[in-house]
Amino acid sequence: MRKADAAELILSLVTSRERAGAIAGDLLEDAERTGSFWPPVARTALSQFWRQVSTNRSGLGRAALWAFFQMIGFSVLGVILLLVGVVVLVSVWKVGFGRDFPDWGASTAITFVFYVGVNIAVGRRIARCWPGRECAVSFSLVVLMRGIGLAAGLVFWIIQRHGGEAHADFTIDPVALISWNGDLADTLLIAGAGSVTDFLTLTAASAYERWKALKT
Amino acid sequence: MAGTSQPSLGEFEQVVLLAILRLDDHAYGVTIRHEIRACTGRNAAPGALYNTLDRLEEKGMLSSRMGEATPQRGGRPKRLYQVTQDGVAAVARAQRAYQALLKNLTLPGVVHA
Repeated sequence: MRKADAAELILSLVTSRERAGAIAGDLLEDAERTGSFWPPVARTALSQFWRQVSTNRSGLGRAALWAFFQMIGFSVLGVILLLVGVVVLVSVWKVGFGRDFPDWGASTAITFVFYVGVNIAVGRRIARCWPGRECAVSFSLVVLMRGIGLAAGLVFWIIQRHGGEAHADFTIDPVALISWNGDLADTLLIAGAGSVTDFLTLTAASAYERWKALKT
Repeated sequence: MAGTSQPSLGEFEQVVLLAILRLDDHAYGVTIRHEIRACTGRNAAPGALYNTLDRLEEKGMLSSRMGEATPQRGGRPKRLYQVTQDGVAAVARAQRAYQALLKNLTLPGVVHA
């Protein structure tokens, strides 16, 4: 992929396709004089992303809610497909190899379907419904998901601080809605790591849809 | 003076509009940044410039059209900007406001033209 194509792809996740092409062309033209291309592309993309996030909060809130319900829907579909798939796979494996399906195989399938598959499906839907705002919508979705989890975690932490007991694990993978094991630092760490991986997976899936559209 | 619903301009927005007015039909991202640097010595960040251009277009002070593509630009067309009547009026208002504020004012240590 030429660097102009790559720059246009990145910029098309934070602005309209027309603008992304024009900005990529400008930065390429300017790079002949300055010798610097990728740092201005990154700063411009970040600047456009932040403008979308800071100027249209109510619109992004609605988009995040829509994407959240999409995620729940795909997760439920994933459960159904996984149950059917696992039953078939385990049966075929047993018949074909005469032994039980390895545990790591089942957990790999579950991980792929939920932690990757659902995010990919939702990321592609975001790209089709919110072209030019993929990063902002993905960011808002991640903030919504983690906001729900952290708000609940804070309540449980307060309960524990006042001598009560609390433990919860309400998860519709990968939507860890409420997960609390009594350790605030642990919860924050998991929330942080989950946010980064969710955002990257959603954005990568959106970028793939955008790349297909730019090729046509 | 009674309150007005006319949109106000930030300092950088004024700079961008004036640069585009000076460039006439040749105003696009690259030339606008060069003009700003040549006239003010200011190295405008591309991100700040494009955000300002988007904002001015949303306010109705700029219009844009797609120009020609060149191999130098990886085959990407330019987005050419023009200041609308509303934009010109906004710049004129801002300039009148500055002149009213500067009238009879001597800035310490500054030699006035």
